[in-house]
Amino acid sequence: MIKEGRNIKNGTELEYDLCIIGSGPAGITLALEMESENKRICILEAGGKKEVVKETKEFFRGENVGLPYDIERSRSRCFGGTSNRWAGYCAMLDPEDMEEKEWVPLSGWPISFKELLPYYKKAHEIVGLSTFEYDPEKWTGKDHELLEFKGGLINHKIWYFKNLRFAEKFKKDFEKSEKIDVFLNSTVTVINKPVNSQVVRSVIVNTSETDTFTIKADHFVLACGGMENARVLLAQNEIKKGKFPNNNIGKYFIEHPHYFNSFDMLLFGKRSNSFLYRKGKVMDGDDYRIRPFFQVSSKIRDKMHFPNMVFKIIHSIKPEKSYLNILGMMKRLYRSGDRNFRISNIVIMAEQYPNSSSRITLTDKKDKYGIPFLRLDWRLTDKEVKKAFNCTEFLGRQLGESELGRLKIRLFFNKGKLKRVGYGSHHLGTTRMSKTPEQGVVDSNCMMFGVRNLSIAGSSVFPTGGCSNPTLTILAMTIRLADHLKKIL
Amino acid sequence: MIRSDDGNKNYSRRKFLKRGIAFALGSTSAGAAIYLALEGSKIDQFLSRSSKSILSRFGTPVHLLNSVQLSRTQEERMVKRIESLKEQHNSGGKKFENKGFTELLRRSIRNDFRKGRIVIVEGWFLSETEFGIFLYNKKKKYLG
Repeated sequence: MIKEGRNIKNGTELEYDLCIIGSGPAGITLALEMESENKRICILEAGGKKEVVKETKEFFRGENVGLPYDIERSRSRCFGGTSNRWAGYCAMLDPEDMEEKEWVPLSGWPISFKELLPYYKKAHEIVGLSTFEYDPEKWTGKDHELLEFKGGLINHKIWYFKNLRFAEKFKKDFEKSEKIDVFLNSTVTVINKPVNSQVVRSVIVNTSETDTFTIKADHFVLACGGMENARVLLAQNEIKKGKFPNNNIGKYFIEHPHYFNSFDMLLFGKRSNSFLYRKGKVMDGDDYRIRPFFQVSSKIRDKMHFPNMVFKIIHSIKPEKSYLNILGMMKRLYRSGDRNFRISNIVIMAEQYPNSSSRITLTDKKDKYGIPFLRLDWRLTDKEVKKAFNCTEFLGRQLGESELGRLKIRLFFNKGKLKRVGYGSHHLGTTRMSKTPEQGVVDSNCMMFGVRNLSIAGSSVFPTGGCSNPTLTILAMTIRLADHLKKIL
Repeated sequence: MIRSDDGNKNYSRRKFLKRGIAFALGSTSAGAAIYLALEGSKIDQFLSRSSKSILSRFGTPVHLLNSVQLSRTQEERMVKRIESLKEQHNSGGKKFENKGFTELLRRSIRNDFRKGRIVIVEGWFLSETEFGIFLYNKKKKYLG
C-alpha cells in the first residue's frame, strides 16, 4: 500500500522484516523482487507522489566546490526517485570495465561481468525491453547498415532507449500489495546503531520538523541515490562520531564526463545515412529503440591507456560556412554526392577513474530536519582529459583511414586542454564496493563492512563506472542484492 | 593541342593521348620511340597539367591556412609530398587519367591517418596530404 507518512501518529513504532530507504529504481526493484518472499517490507520515501521543486531545492541544496555541477537538479525527491528524470538509456557495462587495470589505481570490481550477466537479463524484463541482443551485427538490415571501420579498432556499442518512469509503471503494484508499505514524505534522519555494535536497530523518520515515527526491521537497505547514500551515512557520523567509522564514505565520487557539443563528425558514403545512426532500430511500435554508438576497441584502450568512451551521434547539423572548403575537398576526393554526406553533432560520454579527492563531504548548514547539506568536490585530472582527447583523436584517425569521414573539434577542447565539461547526473562510487574495508564501503554482496544488517543499493556502490548509463547496472546489481537477501533473511 | 583545364577540354586531351598511344602501339618500336621523343615533352606537360588541374580544384582557403601555425620546414615538407605525388603520377605511365591521381592522393591520405600525420585545421582532423594540397595551391598561386 502507498501511505502518507504525515498521517502516522507522532512517536509510533512499526516493525518490518525489511526496510528500504528510498524509492528510486533500486528501492522499487528491490521491494518487488522481495515481494515473493513471505516478508513484510516497507519503503521510506522522503518526497511525495509528485515532485515539489521548492521542497527538493530546500532539502537538496548544497555547496559545489569542484567542477561546475547542479547539485539540486541532478536529483529528484519523490516517489520513483531520479528515474523521474531518467533519459531512458539502457546499456550494460563492458566486461573490461569490471576488470582490474594496472594503470588505473583501485580499478576492478570484486565481482565479474559474467556473474552480473544473468541479472542484466532480468533487468531488461523489469524495464520492459523484450530483447536482449547486444551484438550490433544482429540489428543490421536494409537501410540499417553499420559503418565498417578497417582493422576492427573501432567497435559499435549497442544502447537501448526506453522512455520509462518507474513510479508510473509500478504505482499500481504497490497500491495493491499487501506485503509492501510505501511511506511518502518520510525522511530518515537517524539510523540507530550503537557505536560498538554491528547491528542497526531502527531508523527514526521525520514527517515534519516535530513529528517522527520509528521503523524497526531485521534488515535495512539504503537506496537513496548516489549522493544521498553518502550524505545520510556521513550525517550519522555527525550525530554520533564513529557510528560508521569507514573512511571511504563520500570519497571517490565518479561521474561520466560528457563532452557535449564538443565534436562534429562528417560522414560520407551511403551508410552515413543509415537509420541506425539516425532514429535507431525502432522496436515494438516505437516502445523502445536500439542505437549503436562508436567505441574504441578494448585492445587499443588497454594499449594506449585510453578511458572507455562512447561517441554518440546525436543529430544532423547544417554545415557552417567555414566547413565548405573541407566539404568541397571531401566531395572531390571521394566522389560522393550531397546525399551521401552527413554532418552530425557528437556527444562523448567518458569513463572517470577513482580519485579520493573527488568527493562528497558535509557543510555546516543543515536542512529543516537537521541533516547537513552536502558539499560536492567533483574533480577530473588533466591526464584523464588528455587521454579522452587522445582517444577522440584516435577515432578521427580511424575515420580518415577507413575513408568514412572526418572529425571536427568544437567548443570543449582547446589544444587538448579542457575548456568546459558536462556531466550525466550519474552519481557513482561514494560508497564503493571492494574486497576490503580499507578500499571501500560495501563488500561484494553490497553489505556494509562492519554492519551485519545494512546493505547499500544503487550507483554509489560502483567502484568504477565505465561509460554506460548506470540505470541498467543499478537494476542488475539490485536484483543480485535481492538474491542475497533472500538467502540471509 | 592541349588547351586549358576545364571539363570539355579533358575529352580532347584524352583523345590526344589515346591517339598517341594507339600510334605508338600500332607502329614499329622505332617509330614509337621517335614519336615519344618528339612528343614526350608535350605528354609530360599534359600529365603535369592533369594532376595540377585536380589539385587546383581543391582551392586555396586562406583562412584555413592562416589558422595553422606551421614552421617553414613543415610547410615545405607537406608541399614536397604533393610534388612527389605528382611526379609519381607523371612517371606512372599507365595512370594518365584523373582517377589515377585522385587514387594516389587517397592512398597518401590513408597512410597519413595510419601513421598519425595529422594537422588540426580550425578543429578539423586533416591529413598532412590534405593540408599539403591547400599549401601547394597557395604556393603555386604566389609564384604566379
